[in-house]
Amino acid sequence: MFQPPYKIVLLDQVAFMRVEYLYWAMIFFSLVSLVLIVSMAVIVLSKKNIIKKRSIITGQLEDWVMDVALENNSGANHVFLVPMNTELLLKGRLAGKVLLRLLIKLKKSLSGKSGENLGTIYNQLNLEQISLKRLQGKLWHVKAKGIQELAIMNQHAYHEQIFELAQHKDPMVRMEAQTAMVRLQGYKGLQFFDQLTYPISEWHQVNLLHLLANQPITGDSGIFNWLNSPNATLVQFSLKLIGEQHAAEFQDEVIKCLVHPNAIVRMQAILCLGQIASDSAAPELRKHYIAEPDKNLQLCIINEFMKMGSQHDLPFLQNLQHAADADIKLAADKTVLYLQKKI
Amino acid sequence: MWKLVLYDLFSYGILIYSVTLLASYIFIGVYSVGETRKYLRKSSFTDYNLLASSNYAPSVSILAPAYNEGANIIENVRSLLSIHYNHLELIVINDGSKDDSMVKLIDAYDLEVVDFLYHVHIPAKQVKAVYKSRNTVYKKLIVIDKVNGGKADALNTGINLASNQYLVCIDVDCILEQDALLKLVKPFMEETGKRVIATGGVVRIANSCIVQNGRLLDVNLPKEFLPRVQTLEYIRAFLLGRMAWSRLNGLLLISGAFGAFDREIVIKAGGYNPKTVGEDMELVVRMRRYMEEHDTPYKVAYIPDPLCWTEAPASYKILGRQRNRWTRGTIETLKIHRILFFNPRYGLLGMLSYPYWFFFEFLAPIIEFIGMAGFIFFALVGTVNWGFFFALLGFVLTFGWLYSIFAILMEVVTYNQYKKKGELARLIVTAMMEPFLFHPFVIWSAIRGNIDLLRKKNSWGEMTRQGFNVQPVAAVEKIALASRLRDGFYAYLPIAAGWLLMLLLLRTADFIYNGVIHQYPNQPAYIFLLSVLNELVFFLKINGVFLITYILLFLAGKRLADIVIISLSIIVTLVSIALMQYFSISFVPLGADLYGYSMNDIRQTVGASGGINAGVIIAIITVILGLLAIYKWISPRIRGAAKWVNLAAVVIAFTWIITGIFTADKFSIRDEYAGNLGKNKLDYFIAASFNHFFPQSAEAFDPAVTTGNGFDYVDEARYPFLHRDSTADVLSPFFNRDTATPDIVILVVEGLGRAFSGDNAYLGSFTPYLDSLGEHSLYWRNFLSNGGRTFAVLPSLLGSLPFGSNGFSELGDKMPAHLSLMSLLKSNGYHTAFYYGGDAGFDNMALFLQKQRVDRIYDIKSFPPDYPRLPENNDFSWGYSDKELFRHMLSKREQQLGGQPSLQVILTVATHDPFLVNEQDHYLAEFEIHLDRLKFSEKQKAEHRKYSHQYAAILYADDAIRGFINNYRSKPGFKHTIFLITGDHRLPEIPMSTKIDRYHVPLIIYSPLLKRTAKFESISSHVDIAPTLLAYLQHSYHFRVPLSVSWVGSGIDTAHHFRNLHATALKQTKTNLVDFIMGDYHLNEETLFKMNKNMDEEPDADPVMKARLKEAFAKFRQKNEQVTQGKPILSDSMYRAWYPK
Repeated sequence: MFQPPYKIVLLDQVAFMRVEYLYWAMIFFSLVSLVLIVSMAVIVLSKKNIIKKRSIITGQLEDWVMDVALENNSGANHVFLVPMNTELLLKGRLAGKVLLRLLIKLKKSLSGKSGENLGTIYNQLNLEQISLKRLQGKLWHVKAKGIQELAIMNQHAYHEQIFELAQHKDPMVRMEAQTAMVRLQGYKGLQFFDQLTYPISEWHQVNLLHLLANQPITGDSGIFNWLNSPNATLVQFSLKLIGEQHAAEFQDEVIKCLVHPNAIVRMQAILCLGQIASDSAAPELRKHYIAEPDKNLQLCIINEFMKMGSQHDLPFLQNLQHAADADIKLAADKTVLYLQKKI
Repeated sequence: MWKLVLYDLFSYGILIYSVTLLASYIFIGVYSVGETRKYLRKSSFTDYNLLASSNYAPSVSILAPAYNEGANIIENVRSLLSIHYNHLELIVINDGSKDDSMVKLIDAYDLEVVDFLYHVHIPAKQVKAVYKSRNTVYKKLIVIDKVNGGKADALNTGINLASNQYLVCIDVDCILEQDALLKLVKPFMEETGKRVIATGGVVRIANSCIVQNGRLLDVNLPKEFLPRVQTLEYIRAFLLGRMAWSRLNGLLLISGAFGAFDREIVIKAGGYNPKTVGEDMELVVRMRRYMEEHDTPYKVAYIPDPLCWTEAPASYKILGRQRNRWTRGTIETLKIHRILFFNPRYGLLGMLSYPYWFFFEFLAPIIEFIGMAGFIFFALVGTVNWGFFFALLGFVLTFGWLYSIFAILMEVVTYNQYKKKGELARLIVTAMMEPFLFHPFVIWSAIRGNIDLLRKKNSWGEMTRQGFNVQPVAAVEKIALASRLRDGFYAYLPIAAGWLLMLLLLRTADFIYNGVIHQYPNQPAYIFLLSVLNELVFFLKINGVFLITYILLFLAGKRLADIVIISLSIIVTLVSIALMQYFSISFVPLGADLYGYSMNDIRQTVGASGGINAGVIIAIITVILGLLAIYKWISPRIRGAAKWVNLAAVVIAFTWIITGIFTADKFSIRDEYAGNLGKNKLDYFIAASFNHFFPQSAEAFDPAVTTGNGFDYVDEARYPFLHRDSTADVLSPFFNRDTATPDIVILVVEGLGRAFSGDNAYLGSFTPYLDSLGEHSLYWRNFLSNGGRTFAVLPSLLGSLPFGSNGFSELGDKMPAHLSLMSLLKSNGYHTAFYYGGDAGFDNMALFLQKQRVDRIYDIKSFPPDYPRLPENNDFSWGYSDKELFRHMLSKREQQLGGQPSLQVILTVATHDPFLVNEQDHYLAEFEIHLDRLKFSEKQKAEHRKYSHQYAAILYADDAIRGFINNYRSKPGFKHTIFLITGDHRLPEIPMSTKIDRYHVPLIIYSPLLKRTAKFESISSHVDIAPTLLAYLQHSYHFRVPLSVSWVGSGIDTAHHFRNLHATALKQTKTNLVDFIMGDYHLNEETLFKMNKNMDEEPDADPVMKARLKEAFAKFRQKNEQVTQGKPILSDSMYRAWYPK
C-alpha cells in the first residue's frame, strides 16, 4: 500500500497558511491602498494649490521684474524700487522662491545690463540667502541647485565656498561646483583641474565648453598642463576647447596628442586638427594614419580629410580606396568623391 | 491519497511561485522610487538646451521604418524634422509599402534619387533607391526605398546607411516631445566608467489626447476602457518596472517604439534579428550579451520622462494580436539566448535579469492559467476548501490593486499627466476592474501566443489603428463551394492517416500489453490480424462522421476544422484507451452494462480497481502529446500518400465487413479472452449502447413457441412465467430425514469459478479445502450461474426470477410481486438473514432482500469497530474480509438461536478486484507453495504468477471457508444444517477460455444429514436451486409451497453423466442478455457452440439447432421484457396467500 514519505499536510490547513492570515493580509492591503489614495488626493490638491499660488505670484511679479531688467539708469549701487504690494508679497516664503526661480530663468536668457540688474535685485532682496541655505543643505540636489543659483547670479563672494565643493564626493555637486567656478571666474575657475582625480563626463565638458565659448584661451590659462595631464578626459576637454576656438597656436601640442596612449585623446586630437587652420594638419594626419592601430581612428582621419583635404591628399586617399577593409574603402571612396567635387 | 499528494505539490508550488512573484513586485516598486527620484532631482537643474546647439553633442541618426503609412507619413516626417538637434539625420525606410507612401514623400519633400555609398554591415533585403531632398531645408532627411522585409530588416537597412554615432529607432507614427532627443541622448554622455549602449524612454498612451500637426497639445486619459487600462499598465511597467531594472543595470527591454542605441555596438552585435517578432528585446539582450562576452563595462539606461506618445489598441481583437506577438517575441528571445539562464559568466544578466524574465514574464501567464484551472479542478473533485480558495483569490486581488494604486501614486508624484477632474478617480476604478476585464484576456492572449509559437506562426498580424492611420484589410477571396469542399476533403486526409497510424499503434500496444500482463491468445498472429481488421472497421465508421464534420467546418475555416477534428480524435482515442484499460482489468469489453450501474456502484468499482492513478495520467498525457506530434510532424509529411492510405484502409475494412456478413461463423473465436482481445472496444461499446437505447422491437408473442423448459403455464399471456410446479424432489434420496427442519446456509463465494476449483479445473485447483469438502458432498461439476456479474445471483438463486432490464433487483420499487425461497421459508417459520462484508445497497441487494421480508441484513454497517477491514486501494475498501464475515455471522447466529430454523445467506467479497486480503504476504507465499504442489512447469508458473493476487485471494477464501465450516462444527445445530456453496460467477480477472466459462461455477451441497455423496456432470444453474430446495423441503418436511410457481428454473438435474435438460438464459452483464443454453448447445450472440462434459465448447454451424435456440431465447426475452414492462409474475391472490406476513 503506497505511503508517502512525509505526512501529508494540506496547504489550507498548515499553520502559516491559515485562512485568517489571508483575511488579515487583505485588510492590510486594503488599508494601505486607502492610505495611498488619500495621499494621492492630498498631493494632487497640494500641487494644484502650489501651482495656482505660483501662477498668481508669478503674474504679480513678472511685470515688475521685467521693468527691473530693462532699467537702463541703474548704477553699481543702485537700489531698485520695490512696490508695496510686492514687498508684502515677498514676506511669504513661497513668493521668495518663485521670484528666485523667475530671476534665474531670466538671467539665463539675458546678459549685459539686464543681467546685471537682475543680479542687483537678487542681492537687494537678500535672495542669495535662499541660495546659500541651499548650498549649505545636506541633500545633494539641494546643494547643487544652490551652487547653480549663486553662480548664475554671479555671486563671487561665495566662490571659495563653491570651490570647496569642486571635489565633492557626489558627482552632481562636483559638476555644478566646477561649472559654477568657470561661470564665476572663467579660466581661473578651472584651477580645480590641477587636482582633478575624477574623469570629466562628456556632458560636463559640454557645459564647460558652453561657458568658455566666448573666452579665448590664453597661454597662461593652464592649457599646457591640461594637455599633459594623466587624466585622459581632461586632455580630451582641452583639445575640444582648442578646436572650438580654432586656436591654431596650439597645433604642435595637438599633434603631440596624436600619439597619446589613450584612443579617446587621439580621436579628439584628430577632430581638433580638422577644426584648426593648420597647414601641417593634413600631412601629420597622413603620417599618423599609418601608425594608428585603431580602425575607428583611421576612419576618423579619413573623414577629417573631407573638411581639410586638398588635392595633395588625393593620392593618399585613392590608395586607401584599395584597402582590404570595406569600411576603410567606403570612407575613402566617400572622401575622394567629396574632394573631387569640391576641387 | 495520490490526489492529496498531487494537490499538495501543486499548492506548494503555486505558493512558492506566487510569494516570489509578489516579493519581486514589492522590490521593484520600492527600488524604482529611488531611481525616479534621483532622475527628477537631477533634471530639475539640468539645461538640456545646451545639447541642442552644441558642436559636441553626439551625432544621432533617427531610423523610422514605415509600411503603408501613407495616410499620415507626411505629417509624421515633418514632426520628426522639426526636432531641435544639431547633429541629426532622419532616415525614413519605406519597407516595400503597397500604398502611395513613397509618392507622397517624393512630392512633399522634393526627393531625388542619389548615389549613396554605404557598407552592408548587416544583411538586409535589397535597397531599390536612396532619396535626398533637393531642398536644403530638408537636408537632414534621407529616404530609403527597399524591398519588403519586415521591421527588423528595415531597421537593419537604416543601420547600414546611417553615419552617426547613435541610432534612435522609432515608430514613424509616434509623437515625440520636443526635447525627447535631448533627454534621450544625455545618458550616453554622463557615464565615465561605463559605456552606455542603449537608452530608453517612457512610451505613453496617446488615445483621446489632442494632437495637431504631429504635436501633442493636450494630454487626456483615454475615454475607452481598453486604452485606459493599458495606460495603467504602461505606468506600472515603465515607471516602476523599468526604472528598477535600470537602477540594477539589468534592463532587458527597450521599447521598439522609441529607443537610442550605440551604433557601433549594434553593428558588432549583429543588428536586429528579422526572424523574431520581438526584435526590440532581442537586440538589447544581444547587445548586453556582446558586452558581457567582451568583458566591457556597460549600462543600459532608462528615462522616466514621457518622451514618446503612441496609440494603444482599442479593441480586444487588435490587443490580442499585440499581446500574442509580444509573448512570441519574449519566448523567441529567451530561447535564442537560453545560454544566459543562471549562467554566472554573464553576471547580473544571466543570474537575475534572464531568470526573472523566464519565470515571471514568460511562465507567469502559463502558471497563472494552470493555477486557476488546477484550483477549479481540485475544487470540483472536492480536495480544495472553497473558503480558502476565495480567501487566496482575495489576497491576490487586493495585492494587485495595491500595486496599481502605488503606480498611480508614483505617476501623481512625478509627472502628474492626468490632472483633469475625475481622471485619477477613473484610473483607480480602472485598476479595480482590470483583474476581471483585462487581465484574463492578457493571460489568454499570452497562452495563445505560446500555442501559436509552437505552431510556428511568426506573423505580426494586422494592426488596425484608429486616429493616426488605418491599415487596409486584406480582401477575402470568394472560392467556389465545390472547390472548398474538395479542398476540405484533401486537407482532412493527412489528419485521418495520422489518426489511423495512432489507432494502429494503440491497437498493437494494447495487444502486447495484454499479452505481457495476462497472456497471449492461442494463434496470436491470427487474433492480432483480426484485431487490426476490426480496428480498420472502426476507423471506417468514425472516419465517415469525422470527414463530414471536417468538411463542413472547413467552410468556416481550416484552422477551426483542424482544431475540432484533432480535439475529437484525441477524445475518441482517450475513450478507446479507457475502454482498453477496462478490458485489461475485467477481461470483458465494456458494453451497455455501464448504464445499469448507479454512480455509486461505478465509483465503488472504479475505486476498488485502482481508479485513475499516476500511470494512467502519464499514459493520457503521452497519448495526447503523441497524437499532436503525429498531426504536427507526420501528417504533413505523408500528405502525398495520405489518400492511398485512407483508400487502402477503407477497402480493407469494407471487404472485412462483407466477409463477416457472409462467413461470420467461420471467424468466430471460441476463446472468450481472445475474442474480446480482438474486438475494438469503443466500437463494441457504441454498438451495445445503441442497442441498449434503441432495442429491436419485440417479436409478436407466439404461444406456439416455447422457451424449451416444458412448463405447463397457467395463463402465459397474462402471467408469462407462472406455471404449475412440476419440480422433482431430487435431493431427498441423498439426505437422512431429520427430526426438525434443517437450517440452511447458502454460501455464495464471490468469483468462485470451476476454472480454478475442483477436479479437472483447467487452471489447476486453488481451493484445496473445497475440493476435499466436495468429496463429502453432492458436487455439481458443471453448474452455471445465471449472471456474469454479482447483480444476478440473489434474484436467480433465491428467487429463480427473470432478469428485468438490467437485473431483477435494478427494477427497484418496480420489482413485480414475487415469491422466493427466502420468503417462502419465512412463511414456513424460518428466520432469515443475509450476511455481506460490503455495502448491501450495492446492486440493490438490500432492497431485494427486504422484498423477501428478510429478518436481518448484516452488512458493513453492522460490523464491530475492532474487526479489521480489507486493505484499502486508493482510499477504497470493499469492506470486511471473508474471515471477519464468517466470524461476524457465527457471532450473530448465536444470538438468534431460539429454536427457530434459519436460512442464512452469506455473500463473500475477498475474491473481488483488487484482490487484497489482510494476510496478503502469507497467501502469496501459499500461492507459490501451491504452484509446486500442482507440479506446474516453470512456464505455467510464470503464467500463473501474472495473476498471483487473484490466486492468493482464492486460496484465502478457501481457507476462510475451512475455518468457517470447522468453527460451525462446534456450534449447536451443525448436525441439522445443510450448506450450499457456490460461486456468484467466475471471476473475470483471469482470462477465460470459452464464452461459457464466465458462468461455470461449482455447486457443493454439504451436510451432516447427507447419507451419501455424489458428483454430477449434468448442467444446472442457480435458477434451479430454489425449486429444488423447496421441493425437497416440501417432500421431506412437509413445507407449505404454492402449487403454481413462477420459477424460471426447472430444478437441479442429478444425472451423473453430462447432459443438459434445461433451457436457460444467462445474463452476461446488466444490459447484455446474449447467452442461452439448451441441450448441449450454447448460443452466444449469433454464434452457436456445442458444449462437452468439461464445459469446453466449440463453434458449431448447425443451422437447425441455431434456429431453435434463437427461437427459444427470443421467447424468453419476450417474456422477460413483458415482466419488465409490468406484467405480473404471479397473481395478487397468490402473492397475498404466500407472502410472509
